Amino acid sequence: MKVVKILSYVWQIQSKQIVKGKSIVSIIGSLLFLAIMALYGVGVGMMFQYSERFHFAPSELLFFINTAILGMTLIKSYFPSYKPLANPLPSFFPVSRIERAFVSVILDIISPYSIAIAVFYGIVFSIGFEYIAMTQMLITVIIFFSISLADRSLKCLFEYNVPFRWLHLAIVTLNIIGFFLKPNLFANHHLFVTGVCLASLGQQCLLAFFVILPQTGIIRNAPLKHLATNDSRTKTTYIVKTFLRTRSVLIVLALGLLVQILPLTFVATRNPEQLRRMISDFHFNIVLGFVAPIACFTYILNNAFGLNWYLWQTVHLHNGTRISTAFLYLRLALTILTIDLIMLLPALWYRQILTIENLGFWFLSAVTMIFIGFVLATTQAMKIEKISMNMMTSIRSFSSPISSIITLVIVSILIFSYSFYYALSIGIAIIGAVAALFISFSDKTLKHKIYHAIHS
Amino acid sequence: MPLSVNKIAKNFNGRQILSGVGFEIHNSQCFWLVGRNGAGKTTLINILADLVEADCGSVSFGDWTYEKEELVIKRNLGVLPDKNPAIPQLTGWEYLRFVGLLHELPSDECSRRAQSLLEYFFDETEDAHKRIGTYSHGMTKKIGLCAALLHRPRYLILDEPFAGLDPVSSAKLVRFLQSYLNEERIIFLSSHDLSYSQKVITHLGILEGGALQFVGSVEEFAASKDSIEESILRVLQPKEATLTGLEWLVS
Repeated sequence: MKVVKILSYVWQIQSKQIVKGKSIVSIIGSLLFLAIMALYGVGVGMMFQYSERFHFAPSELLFFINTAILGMTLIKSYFPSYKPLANPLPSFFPVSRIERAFVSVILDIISPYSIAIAVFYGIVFSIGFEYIAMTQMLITVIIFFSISLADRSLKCLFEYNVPFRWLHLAIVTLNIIGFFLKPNLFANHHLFVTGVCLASLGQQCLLAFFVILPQTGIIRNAPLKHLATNDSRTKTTYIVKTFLRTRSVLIVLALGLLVQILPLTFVATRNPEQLRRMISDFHFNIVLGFVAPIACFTYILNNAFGLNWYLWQTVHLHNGTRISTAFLYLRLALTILTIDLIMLLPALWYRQILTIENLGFWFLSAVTMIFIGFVLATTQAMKIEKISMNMMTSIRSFSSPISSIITLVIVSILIFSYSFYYALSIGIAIIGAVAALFISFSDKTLKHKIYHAIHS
Repeated sequence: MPLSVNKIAKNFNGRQILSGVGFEIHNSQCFWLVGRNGAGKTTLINILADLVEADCGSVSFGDWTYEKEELVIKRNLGVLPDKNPAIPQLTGWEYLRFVGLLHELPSDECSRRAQSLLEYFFDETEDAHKRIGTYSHGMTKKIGLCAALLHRPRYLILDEPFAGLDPVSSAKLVRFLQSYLNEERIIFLSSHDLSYSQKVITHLGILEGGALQFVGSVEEFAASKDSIEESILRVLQPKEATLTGLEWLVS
């Protein structure tokens, strides 16, 4: 009964917060977010209807979509709007461990993010109903549930002092890897996915049962830890070392490279003729998929130069200039571009689509993404959430209007130039334009105001 | 119902944080734990609050222990951790109502208590109906204090309660703690702020290198003519700090 009261109270508060204390602009912004998810749902639903023309089976398409959702779910922890509560009940309150575990898991699982994804899948399944088997739909829901749990586990492991943390991390990693391997290794993957989900649920309950305290001294913020041990002689090497040793940077970099598996799998399973026809018929270049890690990295670069207090203060309090910041940014960007290119070239060569045109397309896309991050990182000292996909998935922003509009223009050009479905891209661009205007009027929190005042 | 700590030891990553810490605090005592940074004060508080499990040793609140009467202890325990785990998505008022739910306080009573606590600790300019995520450091500390006091705990554990508070709020807190202490209650305080702490404390313990160097009443400790500050420095025996290496800076 107590658990029910707690849950109903929190949900009641959360539902009030959708409108409470918010301007009309902000409320419309939230509705816009749902509209964007719905629009994506319509677009993907239609892809099922035209799946034959794309030369892939509905089950394959579903796998790619699920993988994209997986990536987004794992990355979303870095978006303030979607921070899970993780552990709302510290253990000094008179609540039993089982009740605490239950409440923590339920509150995190049923979140605005999950609701948005539910809307997306609901529309996709409604439109592509004839092409997707019932079991596939069920498995998709189970996979999302399983990945949401894995995401929560990762967050708990990184932020809390949990007994047997390496064991938990191993289980979560196996869960994610198992999902990627599923179609290839297991004939009866329904059973496999259900097993993975159950294992994830069991592990999650165990984790929630054990989670007791944030940061007891074992887990410290990586930059602080490494500032003491970094013995670089020059400012640039000092900052580069600090940056690359930052835990959050490494996690997102690893995730970015994990996302690379998506286009790699796609390229590996098509024959060269299919790929060539897809590019010419639909103006959808698979090379675009390889830009995803760059997008991820652009995001973390912005984060690191934005709200990463340690690094930002190091740069700016120690006589750093925008020019030196920009050069540093470029050097880091070139590193990730090189890694990306090393993965891209063999894949294109293997499928005989290693052409100057494709390389040019990759270069244009990559430079565009880096340029967005470059402009944003050097024009403002605030946390920036807006690049490409983020622009479409997170309405709450602290970007300046000019940066938002620049981002919007660049992303729109990218979408217009290479989108495979013009009507959809026009819709996204229009909604994006309206979103950018709303973003520019969105409320800034006290923290950001103070931060801005300090650094302006 | 004394708060008894018996031979507590804790090890993190091969580093001994606490080794054989033991003391007893009786009713109407305000115990002040003092020590250098990294001496193990917060770890000890976390063990007392059941946030961290000790490697060995035991903690008991009268006849109650966490092994047998965990929920009974927590109904009688108010904790303000150094890093206050308030939910940033909720407003201060909502958070206090949420804590009231956890303690199963009747709704009206919870509102009444929350209102009076906020009126006492918050200034007129501070809005408790804003989200906690937008609070300043001091306001976050105050809302944590209100949450720790909402259920009238018999045992009150405060980790750095004065950190981040302005002088007016600190004075208010001192006055409150002086009034709160009675023959049924115990206050356990860890703070580096000597000026405010010494107005409240009756007993103190000096933690150094994971072990208690002194435990006793303020009278016993300050028996000599030295001030408490000087006495603490005498016990801790800090290495004499010279400015020789800093000539480049101070010259």
